[in-house]
Amino acid sequence: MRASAVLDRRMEASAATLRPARTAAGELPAAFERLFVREYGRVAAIAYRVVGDAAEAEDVAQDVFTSFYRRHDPEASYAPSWLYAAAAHSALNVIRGRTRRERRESSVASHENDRVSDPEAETIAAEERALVRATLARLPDQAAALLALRYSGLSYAECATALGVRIDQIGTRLRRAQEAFRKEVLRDDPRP
Amino acid sequence: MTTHDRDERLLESRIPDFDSHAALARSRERIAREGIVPQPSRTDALVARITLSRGAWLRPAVAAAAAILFVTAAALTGLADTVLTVFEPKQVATVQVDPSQLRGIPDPSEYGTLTWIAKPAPHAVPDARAAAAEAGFTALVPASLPSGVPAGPRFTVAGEAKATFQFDEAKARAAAARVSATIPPMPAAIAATTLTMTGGPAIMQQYGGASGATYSGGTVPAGAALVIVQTRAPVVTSNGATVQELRDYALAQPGIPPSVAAQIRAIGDPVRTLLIPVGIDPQNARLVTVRGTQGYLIGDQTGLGSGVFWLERGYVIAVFGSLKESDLISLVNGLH
Repeated sequence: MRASAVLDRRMEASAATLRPARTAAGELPAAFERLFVREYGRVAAIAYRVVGDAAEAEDVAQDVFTSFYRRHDPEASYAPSWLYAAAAHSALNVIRGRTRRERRESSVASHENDRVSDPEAETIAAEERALVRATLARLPDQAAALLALRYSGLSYAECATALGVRIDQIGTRLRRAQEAFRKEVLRDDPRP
Repeated sequence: MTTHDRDERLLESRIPDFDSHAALARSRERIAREGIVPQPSRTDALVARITLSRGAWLRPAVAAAAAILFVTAAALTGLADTVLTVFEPKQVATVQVDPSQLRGIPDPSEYGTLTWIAKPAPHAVPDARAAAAEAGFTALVPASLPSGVPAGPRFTVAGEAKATFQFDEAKARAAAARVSATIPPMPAAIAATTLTMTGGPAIMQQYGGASGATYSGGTVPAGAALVIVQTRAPVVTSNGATVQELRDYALAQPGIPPSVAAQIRAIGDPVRTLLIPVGIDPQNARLVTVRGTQGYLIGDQTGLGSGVFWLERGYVIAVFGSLKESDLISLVNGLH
């Protein structure tokens, strides 16, 4: 293993270069803001795939970005993978009943388009989201995280990096995870 | 609709559109309100890299580790049909490797089947005494802590881990084919061999930081100012193939750079030498002398973080944290 493969060259620079540049009042370092805007949608989508609730997914995404902001260089090459993995695992922690602030009562304006005009369809969709959430909560952590990442649109390569496994293992792991998901769904709700 | 269709539909339900700019505004507000100041940590970066990019960087490391297992020991050759110790490290040495040169090597873990007999199962314990009682040894502790490192370590103990590795030629060939490689025939002695690997118990002391942030399936000491890990050195035994046979077979695999093979063959006491595959980066990663022996250091003088590990009296000990290299070495030399 090359040492330079472990420690990013940026991390080998002086402490001064790692300190965020001064920004205008209220703004965060430009590199972090760029990362945020670029990755927020995906991070929130991963969380949503697990928790099934837009407001809660946004809470998870905010926590994930805040954690990253505290301890990591926004220009680190591992930043997106870290965010994706953290989103999946943090969301799984939420649905497994870890301490969590209360769900917000109202959604933000950006979720206006979640609302559907067909109440019956919405009821069914809500039931399905609850089923997914309950099912993922019972799966092994890595399997649930892989499903969340893959069904949020990540490629095999992105899933592999985020989960720290080889890319040639992703297909097999995904099939196993899907099978485990199917069994759990059938256990909960045997309707086809 | 089949159950398969339904599962796909469940997992593919529509995801709302999230407004990243509105979210950024909320994030700015929160960070300002909570007074959060970013403190990039090399320790966290190192952990993130290890945890997240295992697939990318561990492959050459695994390849090198396999080569370590296969390294020869002239004194042990000719002892087939007995249980041989093929790896029991007492010292460290580096082998210069360019990971890009190792990409064509089939994954060593695909050369057989790994079976866990005992997994380490790390868990928190209340204090040093409880850690010692469970692990069967007393961990080294710092004589004093550098400024900025909070007292009151948290202790984690992992039990002894034991696994076997049974070689499997058909599996190895299939794995090689997937990366378009052809491997030499596996000698009958190796095909009939089971390696038994034992490591641990281990004690981890964590000073500062969160009680453990879980991601990528593992618990890592997020934000820790100092981490000390002490584990009994691993031992690998073979019930069949000699070290000579294992080494020759390993070094005959496609993609092993001649320079790496030459370095491995040149190791004087390979059974007792833990080889560290490294790039050429002497300023930030190099061998150093700690506690009268050679250790391997990754560090700098900026205070962002340093780590060192070495072998001492049958233990592998690693110390890393948000410390300057000189402070880290002082701390290590003061461990008792």
